[in-house]
Amino acid sequence: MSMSMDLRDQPTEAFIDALRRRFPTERETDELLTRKMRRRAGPPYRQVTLDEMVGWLNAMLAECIQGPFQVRDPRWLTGGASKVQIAFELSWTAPERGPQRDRLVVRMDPSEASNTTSRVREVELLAAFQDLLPVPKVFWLDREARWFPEPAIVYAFVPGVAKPRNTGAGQVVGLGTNFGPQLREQLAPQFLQQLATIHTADVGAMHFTSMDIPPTGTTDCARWQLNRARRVWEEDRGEDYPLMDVAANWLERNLPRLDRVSVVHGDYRSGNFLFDESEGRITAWLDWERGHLGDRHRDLAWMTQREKGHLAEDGKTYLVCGLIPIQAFYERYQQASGLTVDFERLRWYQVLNCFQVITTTMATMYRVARLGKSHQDILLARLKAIAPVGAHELAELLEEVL
Amino acid sequence: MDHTDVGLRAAIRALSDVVAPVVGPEHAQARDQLRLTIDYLAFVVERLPHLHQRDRFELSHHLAMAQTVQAALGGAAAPQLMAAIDAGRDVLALAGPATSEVRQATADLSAAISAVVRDSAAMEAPLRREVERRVLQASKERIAFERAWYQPLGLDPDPHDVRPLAEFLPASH
Repeated sequence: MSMSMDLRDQPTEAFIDALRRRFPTERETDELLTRKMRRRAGPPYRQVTLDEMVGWLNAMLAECIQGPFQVRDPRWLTGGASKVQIAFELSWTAPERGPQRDRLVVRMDPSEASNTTSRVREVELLAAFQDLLPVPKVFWLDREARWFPEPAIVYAFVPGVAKPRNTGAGQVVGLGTNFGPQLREQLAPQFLQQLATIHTADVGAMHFTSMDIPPTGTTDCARWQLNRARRVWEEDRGEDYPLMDVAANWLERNLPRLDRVSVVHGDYRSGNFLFDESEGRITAWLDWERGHLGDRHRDLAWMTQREKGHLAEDGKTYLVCGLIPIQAFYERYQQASGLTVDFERLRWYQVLNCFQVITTTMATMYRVARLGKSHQDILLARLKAIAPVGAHELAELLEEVL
Repeated sequence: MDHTDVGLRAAIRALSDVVAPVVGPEHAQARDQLRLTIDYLAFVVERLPHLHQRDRFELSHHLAMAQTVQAALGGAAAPQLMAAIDAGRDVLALAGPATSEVRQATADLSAAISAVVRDSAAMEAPLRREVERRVLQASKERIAFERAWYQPLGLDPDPHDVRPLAEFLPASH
């Protein structure tokens, strides 16, 4: 590979600044990506032990809790592709609740993740929807990595499963998960109603410091999201891919205007909610880290991507996230939310999302695994297999518009 | 004769038969990564005989894409693209090029095509459209190839649509 590729392993300030100027985006996103690149040449991720995690946790709790406490039964949580997670039980005296034994989770960044996101944003979104949706309650935030080696949050452990226990489908949680007809019937209305709750939330009444509000009637919202994806592609890629340049050209030429500012979850799909299998009830929405304020079509395009669903038993009907026939999905969403679906804007976000998926799997995961920056590089190396799936969908979409 | 495949199969057996049984359920992260590691090694064993053919496929593919883009440009100057085409053609004609030579020629071709696409905003709309459409059409072969390449990992949602790998690979040398 050429010298410019090595530059991405050890980026100079000039390289970083040039990308910042070329792809302006949200302020916090800019700060996070700049921090990522300035740390790029640093050491690989060092595997941490459970004892170390508990040690950092105890140090944090000693300052955050008044009175005695005890951390019990710590264990690793696996399943996600981006964060280091442990579950534990905390015995303590909680303000206003008295003596408690709470089951909690620590969620910490690796040295460099497969998506560069902020725990602050995640905490703000979880807090905003605390009384509106099933979401885990956040207890503490280590925003500046004061106690842990990287930023971390501590939130409630929510019981539930991400996929039915007896299913062979979906080797990566959420990708092609097959819930079966009965659970599908139970979960689909909740999936739709809770999506509507997010998209119709009163943004003006919520308090966010980590997210910029894009102006309506302009293309700024789409521009920020496109610039973020293009910047990450340029920061992380290991090779040129002319199809990505074709996609970027088309996206630039066709930026859609924003009609309404919604909270966008950013990764709303099966695999990112937990549910009670016996009751058929969603118990928690997780992974809000890709959230932002912007266009609801970003979420709609994300959850309807090919690899996130599967065909029903008839072999013909495509089920969005394994839950709702695609034909009925948009109609039921509009009924639940009172919001319209603009299919031109939807297509723009479908193209952007394919660009994003290829960027994550072919560029970021490659770079992170190559430099040994995460706690599960082997999983990231494997997920490169998703890149041609995203490229296949991208080519089909571009075929319709070019 | 190279016996890397034998070594890799032995590594898989060691991890599966010796290591896995003693990693208890309390080590969820270790068990998870052990399974992923074994799976990935098995994938490598399956693809190992085709690695060199893959490099040649990618060079041929990018050379063809570059030539069709160059044809669309006609008389328009794209010296980086022309130089990459010449170099790619030379490497492909060699009887036994080094892997690094093949990969560098491929990288130079894809970089030159990408540069043309990025600069196409300055072209007249019909020419820009023609360039983009040619890249799109040519990309389909690469996408189909990569879906075939990664199929053993089981992440393609439409495995029945994936063509056999042998369709893409030139005869072994």
